Amino acid sequence: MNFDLAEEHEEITELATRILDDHIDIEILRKIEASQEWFDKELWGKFVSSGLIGATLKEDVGGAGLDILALVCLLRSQGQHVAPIPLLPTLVSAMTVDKFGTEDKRKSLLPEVIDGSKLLTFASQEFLNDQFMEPNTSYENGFITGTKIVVEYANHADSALVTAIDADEPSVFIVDLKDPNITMQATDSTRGEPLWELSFKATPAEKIGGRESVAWLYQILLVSLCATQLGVTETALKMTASYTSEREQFGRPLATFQAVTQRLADQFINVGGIRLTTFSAAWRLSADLDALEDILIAKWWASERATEIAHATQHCHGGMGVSKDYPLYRYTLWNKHITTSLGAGTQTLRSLGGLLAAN
Amino acid sequence: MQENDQILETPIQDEESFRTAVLDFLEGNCERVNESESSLEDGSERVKECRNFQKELHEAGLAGLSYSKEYGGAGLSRKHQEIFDEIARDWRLPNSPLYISHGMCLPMLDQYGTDGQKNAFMKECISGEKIWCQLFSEPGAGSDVASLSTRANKDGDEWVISGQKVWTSGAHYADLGMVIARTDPSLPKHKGLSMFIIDFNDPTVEVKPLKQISGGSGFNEVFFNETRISSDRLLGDLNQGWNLAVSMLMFERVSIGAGGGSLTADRSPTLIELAKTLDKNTDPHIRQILSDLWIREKIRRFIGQRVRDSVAAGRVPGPEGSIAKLNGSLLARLFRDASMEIIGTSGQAWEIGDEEAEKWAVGCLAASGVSIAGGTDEVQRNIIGERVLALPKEPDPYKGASWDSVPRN
Repeated sequence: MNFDLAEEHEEITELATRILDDHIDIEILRKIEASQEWFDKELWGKFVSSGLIGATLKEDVGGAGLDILALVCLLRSQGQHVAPIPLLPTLVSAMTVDKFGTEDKRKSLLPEVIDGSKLLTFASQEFLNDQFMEPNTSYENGFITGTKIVVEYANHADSALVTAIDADEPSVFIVDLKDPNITMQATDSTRGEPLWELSFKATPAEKIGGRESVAWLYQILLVSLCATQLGVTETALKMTASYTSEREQFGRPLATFQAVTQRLADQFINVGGIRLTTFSAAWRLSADLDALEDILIAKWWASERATEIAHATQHCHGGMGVSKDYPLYRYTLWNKHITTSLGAGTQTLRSLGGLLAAN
Repeated sequence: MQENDQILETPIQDEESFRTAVLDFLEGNCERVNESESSLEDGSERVKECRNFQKELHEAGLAGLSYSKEYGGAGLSRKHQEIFDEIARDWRLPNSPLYISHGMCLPMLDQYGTDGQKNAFMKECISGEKIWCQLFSEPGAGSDVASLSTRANKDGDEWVISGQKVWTSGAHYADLGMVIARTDPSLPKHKGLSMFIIDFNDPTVEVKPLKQISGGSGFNEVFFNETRISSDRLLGDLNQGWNLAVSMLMFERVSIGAGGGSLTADRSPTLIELAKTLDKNTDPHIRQILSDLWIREKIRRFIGQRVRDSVAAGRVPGPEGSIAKLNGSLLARLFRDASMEIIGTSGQAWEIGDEEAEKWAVGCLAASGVSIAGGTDEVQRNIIGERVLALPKEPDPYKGASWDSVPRN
């Protein structure tokens, strides 16, 4: 069996990595954070002009027709660079429309996403409701009502996918975020950028798909979080390996102390676990196989084991890990953001347990 | 003042009346422990509130309980301190900016200060009029703190201090600092160090706050640019600084791991309340986590009791301080994970200005500092291995070499 990435996946990884390596540095990250925009529009422009935004959309709307593994490669590269662009929300939303939307919707909306004139996000989480398939938001006669939380980039996006119940069936809708019947409230978040609370009060909405589309959105979101976490943890570990190799105490590099070496070796296994489970889950999803079990396993690694990685990398940096003058902290914040998104370790195990018990 | 002087003259020796006096004072001056978390990130309002509180406490004769009256203490026993700590657990004392002053610097002054130094500094330290900080770590000297490079050179009747310290808690509001510096680089690293008392109002002392992952700035970089101090600011004997530093670190570890302050207050009750509020107290997994935390906090109390009893019996705190510190760091992580589990998405995003919600996220990020500050978990484990279990020491190829001949970065 050949476990190497396919050529197209190698190529897309290489392209994204080259753009990110050239563009992202600490000064740029600081500038974007200080601007309060949390959106590197110049970088986004480069992703658009290189065709990366359309890479995973079908060819008839102007995309490159690549699969979910390509999405994983893109998000992993973003995570490695902690690049502040709405890649995950836009790609996941666009792919959902691509898969479930009407021809009209696909052909009117997706080319505009690909050429950078439209940004998308999704609104799926609700306060104290961890049941993705059972939103409290409802749809009736063309309008949705309800409140969603932790929506990313709602201030920049043009449209949002919203999960709601349509006559007992969980469904995905699309709404225009400029609509006056939406109240947007910024909330502070761990990662620093605002996350948005969106209240819909009889907001006009267009249906994208039913139960199947909600289930798919859930799965692709989880895979995307894992992919980003993979990149985040890979770089955090790499930074820690070089820091502990260079930093000397007691007349020798910290990395020569067994307590440090062994802890970091454990983290290498943890990162490897995230990588293998994420690619396995993504492959099953892209091959239209039953993927939920693998996806939940991947999310467990990307939450529970990723938390271990965050603590170890931070700890082995001593005080530097806590300081905002040193770049590691961003990786810890991204790690924590992803870990808590759509349920951390315990919640994931519960869902997995439910799945196993039902089989 | 008249009344206060009278109280000071008649310390409440009797335990029952002491208990009543403490309770009366706390009822009148602070709030009960609610969900508010302690943090080392002290804004100027908090420092002001702290100074006022401590002044009142001192005037009521309830500050510096076990220190001699001659030096501004209450002249009571360790037992009184025990009682005070036990009662104070249920209250939110606004005195966290004094944590280093009282947990570390005050016992050092008491143990190593000359009469002149005790007279000059102890009373104002006890009353909170002057706040202290301690300066050990340097950019090149973290776990290997004995390799530090800040220099103290003798110039006539003065010492001239030059160098940089880092991770100094509270330096931005401190009036005075205990600084360890190298007085003889030709001696092995542990041997050529001395401890000094430095006035932070001196313009050659420069304090720069560090921005932390949790958003706050409780730590600082401190630069000494040829700071001149008179020779009577040497604490303890010349070139005996390492012994003093070890005592001070033990005081610190005892303070972090076993003290009576807010850092060691049981936090499971807060989480149990939180679980109730969020309707998660019937969830079996969360109940398990809470029970586990509660049990471990009980054990912490026992460890703390042991350490305090041994101090009360007149022993200088030994490696058991490391056990307390390591345990405190494990508990901080357990608490962090438990709180994140209970709070769910609110640990990820919260309404702007909602401090109640924000503190959980901030607390989560701050927890990782506990395993580093005051000696990392690894350092504590080494101490426990060597001094408690009597395991052989790791070989040091530079043992006995003069400091200036050992490579460092």
